[in-house]
Amino acid sequence: MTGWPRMLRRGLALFPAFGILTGLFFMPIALLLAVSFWSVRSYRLVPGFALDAYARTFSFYGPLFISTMLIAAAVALLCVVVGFVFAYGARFRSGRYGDLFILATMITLFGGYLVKIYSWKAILSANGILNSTLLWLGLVDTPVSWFIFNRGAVIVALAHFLLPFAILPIYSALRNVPDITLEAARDLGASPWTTLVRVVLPQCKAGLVAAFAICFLSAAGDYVTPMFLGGGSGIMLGQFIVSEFSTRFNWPVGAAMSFSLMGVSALVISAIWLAVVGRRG
Amino acid sequence: MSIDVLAAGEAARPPLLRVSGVTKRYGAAVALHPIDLEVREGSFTAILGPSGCGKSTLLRLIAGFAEPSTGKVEIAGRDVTRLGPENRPTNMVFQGYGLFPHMSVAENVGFGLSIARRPRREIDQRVTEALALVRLEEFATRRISALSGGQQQRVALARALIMRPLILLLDEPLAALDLKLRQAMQTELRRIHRETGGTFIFVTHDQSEAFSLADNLIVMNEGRIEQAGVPQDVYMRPKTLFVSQFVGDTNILPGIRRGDHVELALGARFSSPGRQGQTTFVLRPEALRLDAATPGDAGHGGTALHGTIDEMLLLGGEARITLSIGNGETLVARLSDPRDGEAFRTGMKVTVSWAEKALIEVGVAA
Repeated sequence: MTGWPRMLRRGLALFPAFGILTGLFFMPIALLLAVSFWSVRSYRLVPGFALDAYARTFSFYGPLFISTMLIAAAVALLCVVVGFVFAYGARFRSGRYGDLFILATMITLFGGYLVKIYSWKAILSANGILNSTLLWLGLVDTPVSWFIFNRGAVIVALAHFLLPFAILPIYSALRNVPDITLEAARDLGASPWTTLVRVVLPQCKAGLVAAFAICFLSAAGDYVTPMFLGGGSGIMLGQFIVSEFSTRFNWPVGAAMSFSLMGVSALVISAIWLAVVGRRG
Repeated sequence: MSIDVLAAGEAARPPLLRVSGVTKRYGAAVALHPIDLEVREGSFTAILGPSGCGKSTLLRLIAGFAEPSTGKVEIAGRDVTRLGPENRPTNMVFQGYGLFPHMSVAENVGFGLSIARRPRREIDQRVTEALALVRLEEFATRRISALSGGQQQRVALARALIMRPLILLLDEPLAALDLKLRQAMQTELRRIHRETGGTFIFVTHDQSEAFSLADNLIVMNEGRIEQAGVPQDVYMRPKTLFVSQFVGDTNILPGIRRGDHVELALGARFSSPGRQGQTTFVLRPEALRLDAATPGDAGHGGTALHGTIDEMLLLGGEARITLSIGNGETLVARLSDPRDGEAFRTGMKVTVSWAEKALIEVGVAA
């Protein structure tokens, strides 16, 4: 008897949040999912159910897809490794200044995204800081051209931008590793390296995977960094999703590419989670 | 020092642990004043003191987690002062245990042997033995989070004992357990000490724990060893006021020595030659004898005073009686048989007496 009104009250309380989420997030995504099965005829969207857009995504854009995943994986891996070293230092080697270092990391986020890209451009370009320095030192005679406009430059810039997002979850995971377990390992004869591998890493692997996921997803979906630093031909899927939606006006293919990217990324993350953390968490 | 004839064969052998002239400073703060300490093989030693007295620092110096500012630590005749804990023949049971949450009970216990790359079969066998020693055979495959505090304590014990340390160090081993479990664990620790025949050193702030476990007691205060010895001896013959207060209850009796006599502030006067001037005696509550006031005599060959019962506390197994002696002085008496207390009432006048040898002089109070 009383269950009904209570459920109603609960439903009403949930409604604003649920409504916003449905209206602003799920609905557009659902629409886009529907569009990905449509087709285009003479610059007009034709509703229907066709897999042509997906076929094009995986055939025509197949190699680019793989390259995007590889770039994202490289960025995420770089972030996790460098982020772990930093977070480890802040947690175990900085005494009471650890939190301060993390705060400083967060402050670098205020710099913004485009500023960092332009900074890397200023560093890596033919007449940039790096080349000027090398020329001045006499290490090279002519400016090095392969610093910029390739995958390497994109990976470095993305990793630089995403590093704080990797440090935070790793640091918080390391904060939960009790000092006393490190002392216990040492007392039982473990070297610092053994302690790291067998005691510290297993206790913070959920944080490592979280950091990897955040960086991987952000990098896989990025299209601005490759636009500025990746060279003219385009090296990441995001750039082509943009062009499919805008210049080519092929919404179905753009949508299909977006969903494929999301799906494959989710698969990659899930596989890594299962492999590293396991089902028990 | 007397020469122990029976120990002649062992005389050449150094004590298992020798700490000599060890100090520890953190910047300007002194954690340990020069410490000298010897622990013989097979003993169960308690380092007892209030928090902040340096007892944990001393334990960490013995374990190798900290390096002394000066002085030397020797184990089995070998200088280990500069060795880290991974290279010392000691193992530690940490306060809070420090178990590895991502490993099973058996993996935790076998960790040290697996680091040492012992063969699988040996590890399995010794893990089984160690778990049997702490009576956790059934729990080998459990996760640490599925264990109670007492069981975790046993895992920590097994993990340290499996390494067959020359000295097992325990940092407040029972502090986190509730009373019943603590008493059960005390019995267990005594049994394990007996069965392994090892040398155990533990740190505690709980004097009852120290007395129930240890055969060798070291009382520390403010970075110094106040007294070391057999627990009963430390209790009966405290050398300092601090020891008498920290180890058990005590009555502190200031007095003045003039000539060969001492006059206590509460009025008693007795013969006791020694250093002239201010001094302090301590008197254990159970050394006091109460009699319903019989005016006139004090015929016990000791000191007798008249007093009034201020307060009576019947604590089940014992009675604690607070007496006022006049001129503001009070004494606390403990009757170990509460039936003796039934003869007394608050406000009664009584004669309080004690044997003179029960008075221990601890020097001038600070």
